[in-house]
Order: sequence, then structure tokens, then C-alpha cells
Amino acid sequence: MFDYFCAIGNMGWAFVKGLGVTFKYLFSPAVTVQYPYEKLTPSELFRGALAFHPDLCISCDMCVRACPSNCISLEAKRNEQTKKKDLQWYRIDFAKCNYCRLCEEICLTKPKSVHHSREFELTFTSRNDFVVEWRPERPQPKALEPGQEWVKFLTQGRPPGRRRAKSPEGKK
Amino acid sequence: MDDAQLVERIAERFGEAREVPLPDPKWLRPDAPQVKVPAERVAEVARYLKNELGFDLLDFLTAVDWLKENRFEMVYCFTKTAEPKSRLFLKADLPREGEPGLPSLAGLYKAADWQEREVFDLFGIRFEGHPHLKRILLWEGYPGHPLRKDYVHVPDKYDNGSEIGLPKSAVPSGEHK
Amino acid sequence: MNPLNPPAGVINATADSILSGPSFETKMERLSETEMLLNMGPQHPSTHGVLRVVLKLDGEVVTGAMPDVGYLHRGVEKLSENRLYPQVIVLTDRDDYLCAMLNNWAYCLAVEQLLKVEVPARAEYIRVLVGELNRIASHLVLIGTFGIDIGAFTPFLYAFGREREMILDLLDQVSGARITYNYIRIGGVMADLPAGWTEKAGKFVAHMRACLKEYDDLLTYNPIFLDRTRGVGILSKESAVSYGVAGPNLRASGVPLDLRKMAPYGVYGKFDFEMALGKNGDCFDRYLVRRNEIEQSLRIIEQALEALPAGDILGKVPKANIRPPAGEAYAHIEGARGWLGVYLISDGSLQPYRMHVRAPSFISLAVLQEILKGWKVADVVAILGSIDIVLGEVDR
Repeated sequence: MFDYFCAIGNMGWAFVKGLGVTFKYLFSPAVTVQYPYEKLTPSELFRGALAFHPDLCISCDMCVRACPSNCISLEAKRNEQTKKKDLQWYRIDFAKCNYCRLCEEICLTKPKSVHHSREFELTFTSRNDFVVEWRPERPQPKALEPGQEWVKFLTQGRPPGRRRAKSPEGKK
Repeated sequence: MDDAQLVERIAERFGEAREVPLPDPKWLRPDAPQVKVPAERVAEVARYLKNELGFDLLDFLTAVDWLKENRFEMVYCFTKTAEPKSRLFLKADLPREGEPGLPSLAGLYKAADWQEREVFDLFGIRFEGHPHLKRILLWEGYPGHPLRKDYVHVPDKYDNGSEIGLPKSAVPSGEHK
Repeated sequence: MNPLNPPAGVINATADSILSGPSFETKMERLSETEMLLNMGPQHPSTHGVLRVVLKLDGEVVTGAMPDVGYLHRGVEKLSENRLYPQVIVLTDRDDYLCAMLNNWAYCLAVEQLLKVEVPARAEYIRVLVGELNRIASHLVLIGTFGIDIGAFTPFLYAFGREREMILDLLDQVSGARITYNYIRIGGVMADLPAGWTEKAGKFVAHMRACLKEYDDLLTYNPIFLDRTRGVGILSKESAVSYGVAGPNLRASGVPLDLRKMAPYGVYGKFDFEMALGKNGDCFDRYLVRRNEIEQSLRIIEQALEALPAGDILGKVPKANIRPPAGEAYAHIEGARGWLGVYLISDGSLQPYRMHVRAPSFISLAVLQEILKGWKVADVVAILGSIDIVLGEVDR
């Protein structure tokens, strides 16, 4: 008889213990983030989508050679007056990019003309759209839709003096 | 037993075994003795290494295709579980023509079972006496052996037309309307 | 035969085509009247990726097993012959994506042997820090998924969703990526530790210590877990050595062999830690070795955080055009799954002449054909989970 009540007591204690864990988590702050209304801020070094600045680029071809997946290509024309190469077009195939940072590291210009932004919401709706082209005479393709912030980040370039564009309403 | 003694002992037992000569004087090497034997004696040497010299662990085995010198080189790396610092590289040359083959070590070291299948798959080197010599990573009927240096990739439906840069068909979408 | 359109039977190897021909010990070529074939995978949730195991069953007892790999083959070894030396690091990330840091490390060690470059002390310590953190993350995946394979759901949420995320956050702050780090570079590391990182890492070590007790309650002393794992899938010392499974699986069988201890690379010689050892080589020992290894890794991290020197993080390596002198090199390290070796041949050009990866998962997966025999189908999942494979590394 004693054992019987002991067993009931033990079970009851196990319930209390188990529910204690439940209640502990019930009253502790939530870790989930209500994406897309809330966003986490990526880390300082975060390797997001590549951004390119046609006005800074000196067409040295270093990034093209450094890329392990051949996602970058460019064409340059020699300018006889300045004895420098003028960028004709610069393309990044975002379908091939594997976010390794090698192109940013090798880039000779200061500030870097090609670099990782902290943009992590890059989306395209068709395969052809993955290939993004920049031309110096048309530096800023306009954003497709107001919601697509990333187009601004990747093409408008960063404001002078600031290393990276900030992501909107960072949390954490 | 230091490295030179080890090589000597193997050479004593197997007359043809000798230290691998450097291809050129500046050639760098891992810090371990390297012994070259004729391909057909590999299994005997391995048995000697395992049973008498205590190399009980087959670290890895692989092959290298020296296209210019027209030979395959099998590379075996043995080590001891008691002292993993001591290693021994065993090498054997094979002709590139025909169906190169050498005795299998799968009966001695079970580690050789899958790794020999991998070499067979990617280099086309046959291992005589291997109990289940079949392709392992690629499928049966795959054309050629990809790790040979003269392997030519046959374009298939997964190639998009250009290996480098952009697919020619892709329309750059920089021109957003 | 047209290579573009191989006959359907060739490209989709059926069970028959695998089993025909001479067979190794499994002797699967002939089925007796009471036996049947069961095709487990490649789309099976507990095969941890695209692994297919053809099982020969007598009732519920496995009488033969034949793992079929290659579904994830990307030809990393061939690809690396067409890549520059720094670009190959990106490929090694994709080999074993659960401990990419260690893959980077093994490859960089091999190139450094050829270049004869000296790695600065700070870089060595950072390598140890991120490497051990990544090892813990990898072992946590094993603990989580092993539990879930057997039916314990909660440890998965804790190990995979809580502690591993913390590690990935730490590594993200260091390298900028969560899984494919490309962080350890030839001659050093990519970037210095961000400000405040060491404190965060110290906090994590304390947190992880407390969590290990939680895991013990949930798994190590769990009677159901013990019944499912103890004495199951015994890998004897002899066959473990013969199969070449160096690493946690070998230590679980009772062979004391740890490269960090017995042939230290980097600065491992300076740390005080113990080798986690098992006794029986069963599934439980393989789990326990990993669990204890986490504890030892925490010790190493603590010591490394304390001793972390200041200084450079990159040795004298050219920024572009890394051109190691001709020669061969073999570097192996103690990976999370076993010895991770890279055999590298350079012909003096910008690209490796040949790179071979000694993939620990590939080597320990071969054990499966032997240790599955005699166990029930339900144990197959437990044994497969306990040898801890990553299919990205098996198929490369």
C-alpha cells in the first residue's frame, strides 16, 4: 500500500518536474523572430550578395580570375587619352556565386569596387535575371518594386565613407 | 628503426624494392620513407609490412596519372596504430596502355576494398583478386575514367553551353524597365 | 553506347545490377527461399543524406548489406585540378559540410608543407579555436540525429537547434558564413577575431558544460537509449584497424589513437587534454566517445582562449598567384569523423596537379557491410547513425 502511494507521489513529482521545464520556457523570452516584420542583423563580416560599383572599378580582371565558379565577367576598352582601361560592362551571375569572398579580397581599389553586402534576401523570379549587368553609363538600374530593397543596395553603391549598407530595422 | 634502416630492410627482403628517386633535385616530399616496388609485388610487400614491420593501418591509397611520363603511379600510405608518426609510402608504376592492373590488398587490409574500387572507378586500374571490383562513385557504363589526365568531358544535357563565364543564351537583365 | 543517353538500366543501377557479379563477404548474389532484398534509401530520412543500402533480410534479421554511394559525387578531386590553390579551399568547404573548418585546415596544411610558410602563432591558436568549435558542432549533429534516429526527439532540438546554432553564430562572426566558411587560408586565417569574440566564446564554453549534463539526463542515462545502443553493432578492434577507421570510431573500439595527442600538428602539443576512449566498440561507445570529446574540446578551447597571443594572422604568402614549388605533400589532421588527409602533388604551376582527399566518412562507411550482419532492421538505423557519416564527404 505504501509503495502504491509512493509510486503515485513519484509520478506526481515527475509531472511537476516536467511541467516545470515547460513553464520555464513559457515565461522566458522568445528566440523566434517574426520574419519578415522583424529581421536579425547579420554579423559584421557577413557574406551576402555581391555589390558592385562601376565608378570605382579599374577593370584589372583580378576578381574574374579569383572567382572559383566563374560567375564574374567583364569587358574593358583601352582609353587612349588616360592610358587606362574603361569598363564596358560587368556581369555577375548570382546563380553561380558561392559567396566565398575571394573576389572582394583580391580587389585592388580602395574602397573595394566589388564586395559582399549584408543583403541576404536576394531573390529572382527567372533564371535569366540571375545575370546582373552593370554599365558605367547606366550606373543605377532602378528598383523593380518598392519592396525590393536589395536592388538599391547592390547597384546604387554605398554612400562614400561607409563600409557597408545597413540592413533595415536591425534586431538582436 | 629509422627511415633509412626501414628502406634497407625492405630492400633486403625484396630485391627490386628501392627508394623512390626524386624526379628533380628540388622535388619536395613528405617526411616519410618512400619505397618503390614492381606493381606485381605490391601485395607481397604489403603483407611483409603488415605482418613483420607492424604497419597495421592502411592510411590511404590512390593513384596519380603522370601523362607526360606515360605511367600511372599507385601510392599507398601505411602507418602504425601504436605510433602514427611513422609512415611509409609504397609506390608502384603501371603502364598507361591497355588495362593496367596490380594485385589487390583487399584481403590484407579491408580499408583497401572501397578505396581500390574508387581508384578503379576514377582511373580504370584493375585490381586482381579484388572480391567486388565495381564502380563505386560513378554509375556502371559511365564513359571513361575522369581522373585520368587525358579524360575529355563529353558535353551532356547538363552543360549550358559554356564552361567559363555566362551562358550565351542568357539575356543580361541589367536593363530593368 | 551513346554516352549522352545510356540505357535506362545502366544509369539507374537496379538492385540486380549491384548484386550481380562477384561479391565480397556479403554474398548477396543468391537469395535463399526465406530471404528478401530491402532497398533502404537513397531517400530515407535516417540515412543522413543520399545513401542507399541494399539489405538482405531473413525475416527481420539482416544477413547482408551493401551500401551504394555516389549519389552526391561532384568530382572535387577533378575540379581541384582546374582551380587555383586558394580556390580549392572553397571546394573543400563542400566536402564535409558539418566541419568545413577542419577540411580547410587539412588542405591548407598540405599547401603550407609545400610552400614552407610559417604560420603566425595567433593564426595557429585561432585555427585551434575555430577547429575545435567546429568539431563540437559536428559532434552535436551526431548526438542530435542519433537520438532522433532512435526515437529521442528532444536532444535533437537542444543539440542541433540551440547549442549548434550558438557555435554557428560564433563562427559566423569570425568568418561571415555559417556553414561554408572558407576561413582558414594558406598561411593563416582570413580575418582576425572580432572584438568581444573571445568573451562570447568563453561564455559559450561555460554554457556548453552545463548543457552536457542535460544531454546526459536526456540520452546517456536514458534506459530506452541504452537498450537500443548498448551491445549493438559491435565493431571489434581488429576489424576497425583493418578497415582503417581512424578517429572517434576507432577510439570507441578501444584503440588509443588521436593525432592531436600522438602526432600533434599546429599547436596541439601545448594543450592538456585527454583522449576519449571506448571499450566495446558498440553504438553506445561510439556515442559516448563523441560526448566525451566535446568535453575535451571545451578544455582545449578554454586553454587556447587563455593563451591566445597577439600578432599577425597571415604568414608571408603572396596575395595572388600562389605557386608552390613542385613536390608532393601529405597532411592529415584529426577530423571530426576520423583522420582527414590531403595528398597533394604540385608541378610548380598555379593549379594542383593532383589532390586526393582521405575522406574519413568514406572509409568508415565501408564498415557497414560487416557490422550490420546479424542485427535487426531497426538496429540498422542505430548503427548507421552511430558511425557518423556525411555523404558530402563520402561521395566528394
